[in-house]
Amino acid sequence: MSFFEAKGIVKNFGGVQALKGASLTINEDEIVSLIGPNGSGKTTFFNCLTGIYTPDEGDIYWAPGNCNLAGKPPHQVARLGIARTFQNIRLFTRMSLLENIMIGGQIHDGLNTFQKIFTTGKAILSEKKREIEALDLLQLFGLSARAFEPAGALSYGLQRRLEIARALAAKPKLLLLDEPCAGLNSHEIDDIIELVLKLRKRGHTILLIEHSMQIVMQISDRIVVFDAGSKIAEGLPHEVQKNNRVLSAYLGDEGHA
Amino acid sequence: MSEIFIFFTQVINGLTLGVAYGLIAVGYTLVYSILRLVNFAHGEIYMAGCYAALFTVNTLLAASIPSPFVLIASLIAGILASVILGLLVERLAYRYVRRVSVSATMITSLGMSIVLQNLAFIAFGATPTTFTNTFPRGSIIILGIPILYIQIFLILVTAIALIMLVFWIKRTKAGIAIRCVAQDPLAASLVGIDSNKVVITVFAIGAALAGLAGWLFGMYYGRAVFYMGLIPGLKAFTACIIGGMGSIAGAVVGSIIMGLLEVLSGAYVSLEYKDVFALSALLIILILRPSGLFGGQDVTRRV
Amino acid sequence: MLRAEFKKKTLWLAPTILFLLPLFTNNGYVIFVITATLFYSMVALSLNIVVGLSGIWQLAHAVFLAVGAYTAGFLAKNYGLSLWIGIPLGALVAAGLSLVLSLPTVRLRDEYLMIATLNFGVIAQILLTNLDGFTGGTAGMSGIPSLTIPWLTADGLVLTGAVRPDQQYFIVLLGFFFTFAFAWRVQCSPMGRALRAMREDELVTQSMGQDTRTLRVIAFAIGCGLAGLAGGIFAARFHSISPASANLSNSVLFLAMVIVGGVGNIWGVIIGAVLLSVIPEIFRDLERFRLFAFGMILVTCMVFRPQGLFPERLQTFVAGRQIN
Repeated sequence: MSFFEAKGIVKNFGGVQALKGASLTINEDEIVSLIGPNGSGKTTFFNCLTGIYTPDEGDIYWAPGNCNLAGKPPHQVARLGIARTFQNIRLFTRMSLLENIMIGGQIHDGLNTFQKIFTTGKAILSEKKREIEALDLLQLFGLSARAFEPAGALSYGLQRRLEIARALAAKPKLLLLDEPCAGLNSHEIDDIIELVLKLRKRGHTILLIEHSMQIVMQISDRIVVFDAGSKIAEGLPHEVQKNNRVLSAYLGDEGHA
Repeated sequence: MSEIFIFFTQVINGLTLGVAYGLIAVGYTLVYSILRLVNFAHGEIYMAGCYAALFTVNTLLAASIPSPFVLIASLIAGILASVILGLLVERLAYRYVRRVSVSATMITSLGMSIVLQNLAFIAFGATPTTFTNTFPRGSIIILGIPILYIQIFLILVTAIALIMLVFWIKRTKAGIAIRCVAQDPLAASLVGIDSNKVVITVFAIGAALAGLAGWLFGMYYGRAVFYMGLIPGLKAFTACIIGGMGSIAGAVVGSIIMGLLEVLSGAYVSLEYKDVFALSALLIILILRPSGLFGGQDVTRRV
Repeated sequence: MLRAEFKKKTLWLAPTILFLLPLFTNNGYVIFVITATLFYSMVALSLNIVVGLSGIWQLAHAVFLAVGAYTAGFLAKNYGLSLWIGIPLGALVAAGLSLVLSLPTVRLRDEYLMIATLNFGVIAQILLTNLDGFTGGTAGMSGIPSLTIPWLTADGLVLTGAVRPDQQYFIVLLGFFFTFAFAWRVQCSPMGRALRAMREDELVTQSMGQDTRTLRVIAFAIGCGLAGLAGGIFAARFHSISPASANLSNSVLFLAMVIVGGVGNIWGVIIGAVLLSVIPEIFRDLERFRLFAFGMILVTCMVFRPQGLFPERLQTFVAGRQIN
């Protein structure tokens, strides 16, 4: 069984079938990109994976937790080692950068309720540890100088980085990035690409949604293509780029060579 | 044998109460469908209509004006008072706070409710003020069940008002505009609908219905007191949730259910606790079927 | 930086003044006003945990206060249970009762949550009025004994022969310090951070591994428990409690304190409590207008300054202490 395998995910909203038996496999230490035209169900798929939606059918096998993720609530999915970012950036804008990261880190504090409320000895140690880890992460992302500023004060590009940092604070075994380059200029996109490659070197497994073929070609080990709610192609980047079905999905039937 | 007749008498009582609650509930649901706002002061608008009608009745009767004119005059006074108050509250308070957040507007409406309740307290004191009864007393017997003239009147008037409302919403330009804004405010503005006008219209209609309810309840119970708006307001809102928030039919059906629940639990379980039963219906419906019987707005948070 | 240092140095000043106050004045009225202010501050702090810190709109807070008072009073009068035990028990009962309200409403939107709490408040008040056997009906419970500190007898702390310090005052003061410390601990804690995140964006907080439903229920219980504690102390101080204490007007008053002072800001809500308890005392003669005035203050505040007098400032807490 592979590291992560989603099979036959079906999701309906009222009359609309957003996902029609979508499947996707991820191996450890890969970067997989999920691409497809608008409305193909990519973000819906992400939401099913992370517990925000419960799939109507289908299973999601997760090796590190040895369980089926389908239908589990978001906080359990997170605790099983999956963290994500969001398509439209969702930071805690009124909290400082440091606290944004520390929330991510709190997932592993192992404290019971009493300790969490009264910050007793064990909690103090745990918090100090989180703080150090958070500051390290901020340093890695080049944000440590602004650790105590509100997250809302950052520029769009830096906010994207912070969101990724926050997801990393949860020490996930699988990182889901939902359009990490959306709205960024080419300079910022290069930064993100560099960041993602750095993360892969550090041993992270990443699944990301992206629109731009150029970005995806540079960073992916494998590409999966969705259209109209299910997978239509997958494979190595150069294979997918030439795939006729993919081209017609993106460009329309008249568009391919 | 008489047990059954007593039961049906109570059913009639509950129905009467329920349809009158329906008038208040429809006001809530209309405003909510446009603004996602629960106007806590709505109960006080109903109270204002009742007081206005009451004072008109007492004043005109003292001047020996004949009964039918008194009735009509008090109806107009009640509706006018409610509409004016409703529009004032929207213009002076809600309009500014709407921009901030829905919660802020709700807190403002809560504050308004307290302000209006206490204005009535300051003006009229703590003891109830009474109507001099102008409506013909008496009842008719249908199938052995006594029904008061005023109950028939109340149900008929409410039915007519609600039918007029539904017709107006479905057929007139203004009514369609309201439904457009309720569905999609942005799209509505893109086709040239002035949302401020719609808000004013909706507030006015909701207030008018509440004023009508005030007039009807005034004649039914014969008295008004400064806190009379609070519990009926909560019941009307509960009714909206039971029927499905945002649905007029839901508001009416829910209100009838609330009326029946209140009267029957008062008659067969305990008079002191009838309101407990009525208001607990909210918790029960939220556990069992949060979107209501007719499937209104989603009441849960997410995303 | 200067401000923070100034704050640290003067932090000890206020409690000391409050503690020594009865020695310097035997004006019963002043002590009464300060007692009332302390008491309202306790309630405001408890409500702040629910509304301010967690973003849960609770409009029936007065009920939990009353429940704490009734519990402590009932146990003291009928079973002779010392109020030292009865008052904490009252707090626990209030916290337990909060589950009845919080569990069914955990997933509701703000507006529906408000309505649910309003319904709950009315229901509770009806129950308190009608369960004569336990609560003494409309008139409520009276003749509740005082809470006494054994070694602090009336003669014990007389200085200059001028003043007999009011034991009751010290009880309330103690309660206030306890509540303040508790509220501060919660604010600075990891749970406090999780609550603030939940208030910002609940879905994301869940995606970060926090079980927000449980967090809400716990925060609610803590806030209501502290209100119950305040209620028990109220009962011990004023020796009586009635169903009117649980009414909507009081709940709205408490909410007004939190909102006017500054939602989420511990110092802000205390100032809100001070303002809304001292000002009515100044206008004692205009008692009839009291609630009207509160309503107007709330509405005016929402229209002109919805974030309150002292809005929550950006603070970072690590390991239970504030840094930055």
